[in-house]
Amino acid sequence: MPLTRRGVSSNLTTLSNEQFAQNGKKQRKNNQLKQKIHNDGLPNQSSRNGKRRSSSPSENGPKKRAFGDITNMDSERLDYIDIDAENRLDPNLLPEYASQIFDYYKEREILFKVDPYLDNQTDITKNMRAILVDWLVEVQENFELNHETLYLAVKIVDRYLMKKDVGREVLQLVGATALFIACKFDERCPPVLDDFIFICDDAYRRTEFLAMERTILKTLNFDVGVPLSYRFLRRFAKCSKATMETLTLARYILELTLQDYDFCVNYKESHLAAATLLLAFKMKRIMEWDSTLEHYSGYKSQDILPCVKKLNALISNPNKQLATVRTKYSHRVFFEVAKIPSLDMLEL
Amino acid sequence: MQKYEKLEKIGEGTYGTVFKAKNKETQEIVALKRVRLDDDDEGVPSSALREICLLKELKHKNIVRLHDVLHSDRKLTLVFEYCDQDLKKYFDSCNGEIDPDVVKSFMYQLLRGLEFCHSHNVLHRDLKPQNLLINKNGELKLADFGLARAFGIPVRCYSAEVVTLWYRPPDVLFGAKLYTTSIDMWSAGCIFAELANAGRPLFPGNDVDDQLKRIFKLLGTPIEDTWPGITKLPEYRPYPIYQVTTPLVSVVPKLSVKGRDLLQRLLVCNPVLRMSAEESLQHIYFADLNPAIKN
Repeated sequence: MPLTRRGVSSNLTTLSNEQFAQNGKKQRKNNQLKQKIHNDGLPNQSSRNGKRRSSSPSENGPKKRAFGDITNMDSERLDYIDIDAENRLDPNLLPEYASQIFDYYKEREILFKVDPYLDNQTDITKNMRAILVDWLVEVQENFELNHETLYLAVKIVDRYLMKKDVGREVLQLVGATALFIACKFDERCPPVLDDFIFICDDAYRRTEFLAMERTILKTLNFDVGVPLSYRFLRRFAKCSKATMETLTLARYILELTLQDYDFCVNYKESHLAAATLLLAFKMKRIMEWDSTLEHYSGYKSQDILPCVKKLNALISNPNKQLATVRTKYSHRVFFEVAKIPSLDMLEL
Repeated sequence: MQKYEKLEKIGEGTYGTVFKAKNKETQEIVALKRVRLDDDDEGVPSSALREICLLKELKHKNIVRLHDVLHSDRKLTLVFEYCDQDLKKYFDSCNGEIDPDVVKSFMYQLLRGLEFCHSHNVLHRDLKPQNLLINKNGELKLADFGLARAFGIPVRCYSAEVVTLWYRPPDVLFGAKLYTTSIDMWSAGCIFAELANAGRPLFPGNDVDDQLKRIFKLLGTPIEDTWPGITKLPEYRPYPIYQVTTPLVSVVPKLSVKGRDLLQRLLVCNPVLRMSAEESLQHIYFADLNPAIKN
């Protein structure tokens, strides 16, 4: 369903892909991508400090291995495992601040909840939003952006649409500018504005981008430090000692929700993160939502089960037109997690 | 800009010029940081964007308050609370003398502001006396978040081109891109020594090489045993093995034993072993701090 000539159409999608190749732009290289996943992953994380990482944990159940004697005693008193005590020799996990930071995120995520807004929009629809997000995922891949940048961009789009009525002809400009802003906030080397003009196939002028940037930042009051579901998921997965494959499956499901308006307006970021992880556990038939996960996520399994069911329905009925996320996660470097079958609803 | 009347230029930040100004309605004195925007530019510079976003989040008495942002197509103006001077200028007015209680108070406030940043997932990455503001009440505030960034858990690789040379930790001097809150703790240690010496910088290096030599001459050259992984750092080069010959007491003669102990724990080459802001606030050096400052 092409929006307009310059809209986020499937034509444009193909075109931009070809152009990336022509320009010798950062085309995805499997080995680079693989490296990227591993850098972002749970086990085998690259460490410049040369410290030993915990070896790949087993998926056959939550192994409650305590770190040392003191931790052991603590674990017996607590009904959860003190993950940060276990991680205390890995500074890259910020063991001394992690729990405070996630408490802060949980407090703060409430400020960024997206209220339903489509009823107030005069032109755009769920499907147009989905097409836009599908395209953003593609741009994220082609520019090799961090996933946080993608998630932040989608959040910026939703927060903006919550407050402004937008016509379909500028929806892509909103999306591209949101990504431009998210890149500046999070990327070490953000792509330049010319790259964004280019990926929009010159549909918008430079001055339009700059004006949109001002409008978005003003509308959002420059508040773009959003606690993202992606970060919660990484934390919860670490707390459950899930393998990279399980985390990747959960990430795939979480990334699919970005396209889905109903998930983005109805759930808190931490709720979505917890539910995708639980669904991943169930799909891989591995572990249960234990007391450690309850403690760190703040959710009991019954709190998130309704969302888990909806997520399972989401992956059971894939959108044939918007397949970027599915294609991406069907790749070997993502453990082909998109090929894992969804569950029979009776199993949930 | 009608709301504010510019009074004088105060200085230059990481990006943009800073003016002292008066709010014409309330008469309040503020600091304006002005960034020019050009049409052929990239829009809002990422340093300004980050500074604004992060300061919106970080509301704390030891962090400079961002009151307002004025954004037009030609310029971006950040309106900050006004502080009388920065720590560098304060040093200039000290004439080499500083009250040990002031040292303790400033150091405590610096660490408290830093602890707030770190527990709210922000790295400052440019701590130095010029970026610490002091007001008439002896309050110290972290300022200039132009190089600051929000970090995730686990941290990713970030830019190694951060922190002014004299305050840059050895791991970053060796090109480390994977660093955490410890990056700011080294700077805090350097500033602590500078405070104790009433403004004499601890490691005033001329370039990266000279900077590392100065550090290693004082603290001893780290090796794989004391700092596992050091030789794997991107720009690692071997240095002569300097032994520790100068005791800290001769470096910071006016600092108490407890103060020297804290300094020793901050100035640790291996970032993993450097003390955190949270821990350092609990250090015994601060046990007799004036309770009025602690609150």
